[in-house]
Amino acid sequence: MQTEMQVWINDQSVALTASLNLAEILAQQRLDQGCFVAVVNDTVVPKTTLDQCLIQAGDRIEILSPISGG
Amino acid sequence: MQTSNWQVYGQTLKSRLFIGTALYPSPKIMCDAIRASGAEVITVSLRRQTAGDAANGQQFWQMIKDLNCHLLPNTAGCYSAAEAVKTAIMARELFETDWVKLEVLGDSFNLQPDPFALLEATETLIKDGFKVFPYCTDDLVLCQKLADLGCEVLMPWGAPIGTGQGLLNPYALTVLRERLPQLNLLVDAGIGKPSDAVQAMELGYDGILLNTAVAEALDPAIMAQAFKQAINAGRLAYEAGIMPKRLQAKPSTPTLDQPMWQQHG
Repeated sequence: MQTEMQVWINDQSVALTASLNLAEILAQQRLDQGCFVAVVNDTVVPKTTLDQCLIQAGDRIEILSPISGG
Repeated sequence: MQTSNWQVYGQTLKSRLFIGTALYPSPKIMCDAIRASGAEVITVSLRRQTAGDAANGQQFWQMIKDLNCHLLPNTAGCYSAAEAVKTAIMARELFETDWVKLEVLGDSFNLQPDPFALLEATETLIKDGFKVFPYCTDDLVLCQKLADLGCEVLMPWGAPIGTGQGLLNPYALTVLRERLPQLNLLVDAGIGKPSDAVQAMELGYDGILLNTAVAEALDPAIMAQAFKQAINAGRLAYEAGIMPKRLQAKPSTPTLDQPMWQQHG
């Protein structure tokens, strides 16, 4: 049986299978489309290293995308 | 006649208008207005993605890419140096540029930049390799300190963001131009109509950053053209050399050999 962990994605609590990397989580949550930047616990994760970033229980993940600005 | 090219952090530009991408009635009108403006630099921002608006976000991004402009991400809405630095770092990764329009606000009523937090964030970001475009007040000492930190561009306000009040303090803006001749100075915020832009350009400003005055016009694309022409006219006037004001009238028609000359005192 797979263990579960609780993480925060854009301030929403989400239950995930433990031992997933960030790339897997973003794909699972359909948050990996188009242009975005991922931030884990206030640290930017470069797109090239998403699959090397192992997520732990309680981690805070932020996904940001472009919007209009003045 | 077009004004001369200029350089911003090593990037050669023709247009002296930077334009925002917010507040337009529709994405298509935004694109039409930006194209009509001739701007080569557009400001953008970033926000948390939510499942519901992911598609809209990507549509916006595709339109922005198709405009083929230089992107100037902002740190709008930040009220501390730490927030602004964090936002700038995220923007660098997202937009793949080290340019940042640094906004650190100090008051929610007039959205006035916080000069102390702005200096702190500027110092941190320049050490991290950013090319900082600080949105600042027209305070001379603040601007000198920003220049000392390594800013090659300063963007003092003409008036508070979105007010359209024009240049509230032409004296302060004139002094900045006089005291910081080596810097690129752009008036950012408060421009309401093309004549405001002309006034700033005639003062010797290198460019204008605006958004609301175009986006909230009845016809944004036409207003964008009006600003393009106004900025061009103001710059040409500055380069041509504006005559000094004087108190005493001076006839433009030669008076020598004028008939009946002896009848006038």
